Amino acid sequence: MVLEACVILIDNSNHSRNGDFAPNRFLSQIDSINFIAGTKIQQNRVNTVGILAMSGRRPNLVLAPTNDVGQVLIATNKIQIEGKLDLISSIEIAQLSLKHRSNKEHAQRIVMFVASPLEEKKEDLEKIGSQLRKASISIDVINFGETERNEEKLSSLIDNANSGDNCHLLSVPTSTGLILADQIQGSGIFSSSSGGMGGDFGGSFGGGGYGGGMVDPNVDPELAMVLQMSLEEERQRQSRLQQENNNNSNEKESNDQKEEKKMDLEETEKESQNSNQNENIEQEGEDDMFSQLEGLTEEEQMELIMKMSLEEMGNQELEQLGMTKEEEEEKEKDPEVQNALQDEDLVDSILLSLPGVDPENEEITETIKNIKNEDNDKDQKEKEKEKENEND
Amino acid sequence: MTEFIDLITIIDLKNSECLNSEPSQEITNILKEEEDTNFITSDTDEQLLVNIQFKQKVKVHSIIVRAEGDGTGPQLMKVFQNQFSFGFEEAQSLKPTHKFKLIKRAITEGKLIRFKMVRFSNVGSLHLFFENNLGGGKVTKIKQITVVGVPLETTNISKIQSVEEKK
Repeated sequence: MVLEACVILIDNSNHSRNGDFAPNRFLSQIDSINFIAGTKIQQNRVNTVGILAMSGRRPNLVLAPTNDVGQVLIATNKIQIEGKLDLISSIEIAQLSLKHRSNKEHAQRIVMFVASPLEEKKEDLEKIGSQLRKASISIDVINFGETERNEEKLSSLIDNANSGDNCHLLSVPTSTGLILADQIQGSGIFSSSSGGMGGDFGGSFGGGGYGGGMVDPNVDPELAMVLQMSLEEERQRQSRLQQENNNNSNEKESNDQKEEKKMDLEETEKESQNSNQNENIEQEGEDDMFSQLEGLTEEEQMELIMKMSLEEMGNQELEQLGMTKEEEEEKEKDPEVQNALQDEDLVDSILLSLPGVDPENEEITETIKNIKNEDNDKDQKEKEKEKENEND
Repeated sequence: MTEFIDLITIIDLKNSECLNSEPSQEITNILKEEEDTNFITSDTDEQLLVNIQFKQKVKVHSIIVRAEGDGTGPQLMKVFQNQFSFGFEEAQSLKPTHKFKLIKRAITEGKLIRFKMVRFSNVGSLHLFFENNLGGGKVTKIKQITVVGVPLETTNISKIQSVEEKK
């Protein structure tokens, strides 16, 4: 999962009114942009996506780079179809926007849709390609609508901008029935900056069910994945139990108990979810549980499960309490701090270095006296205790 | 007068970068303590831009640039300071604080290139634009860059004494 700041360049010139990509080139771009932005932000919550409309009076940065998918959806609705494509200035403005990105750790990327016949010269495109390479910006171009005419120019742009295969050219020919977003998804290039993980993620979360609608995979994909795995294991265990029960021939009772157990297991999973456990620990705990459960009857299994989940919760609380007690004790017992507070010169110099503090101020002198008195009291109490111990 | 030191410990390597270098190379190839065989090679053309970010403000006294004597060493070096988002466009349009024409001896022998310290008395980030190289070829290589100076506000740890000792 690469940290990335991406600016998507949309071709909103009059050429994209063309209906050869249903419903028209412009709307199929909007569709694709929503998909690309969603995938990139899903890969890494910190990735940012911006949108720039290339045509019109001048190229217009419709959306400054943001990691909010909702903003992307709102912005795409505001774009109008107008004017002619101005490729070079659009790329330069996108470059500027990326240069001033908030997090310098982000890799810079431009995704450009081209649906108009290009009037720019090949040399100019090569020059801007080298400029992008110098600034370490990678660029992906989606050439559709006027593919044959633009192929040569755009491939030279990509060649000049490419350093180590980080730039791609996707040409989608105009044949009936092709949907742009599907083509992009299928190519897998834009879903992942490095490797092909993005497509798999989208499929497994969107397609397969996520267990009773408990967790939205878009909100918390890691948690959803863990829950999915534990539910699958539960289903496997149940299928094993079902086989055993068929042998026992108490079918009705066992079905009821199984349903109860399933509910209980889901509840315990929700409890562990609420107690903010580390997901790895949760996974390991459940593995242990399931291996132990195999040899027991159903009632005993239920009891064991409940016991274990309660134990884990109890241990967690104890750990938290233990931590805070230790911290408090450490603070009280620090003799150096107490001695330092006794030293008036040191205290005065510290106070002077703080802005807006007047050492002569009555409140401050009083609070310092109180602190010293507290310390003195504590010292006295400690000394008394020591004396008592000695006497004993 | 305080001593001048190699400011390598004060350089924030994470936020420092070299633009137009080969993709696999890292900034630590040239910003390092000792000389070794790593270097930075320019990629698209012969220009290199090194942005050095410091962890605290410093005064820069001088700089050492080491390179090979085979014509790939840099020639014209423009120095800028305290710039934000510094790229090649800014490097070519803005006026540099200092402009140096490096000679072969200076870079092969690692001679100190003196700055006017009054102009570099409060530096948070230093930007070195190497515009061309000595041989006029398409590739510029730099072996090491050392910045010499002194940090502005420091706490001398050895002078901090325990309160009990003072009593």
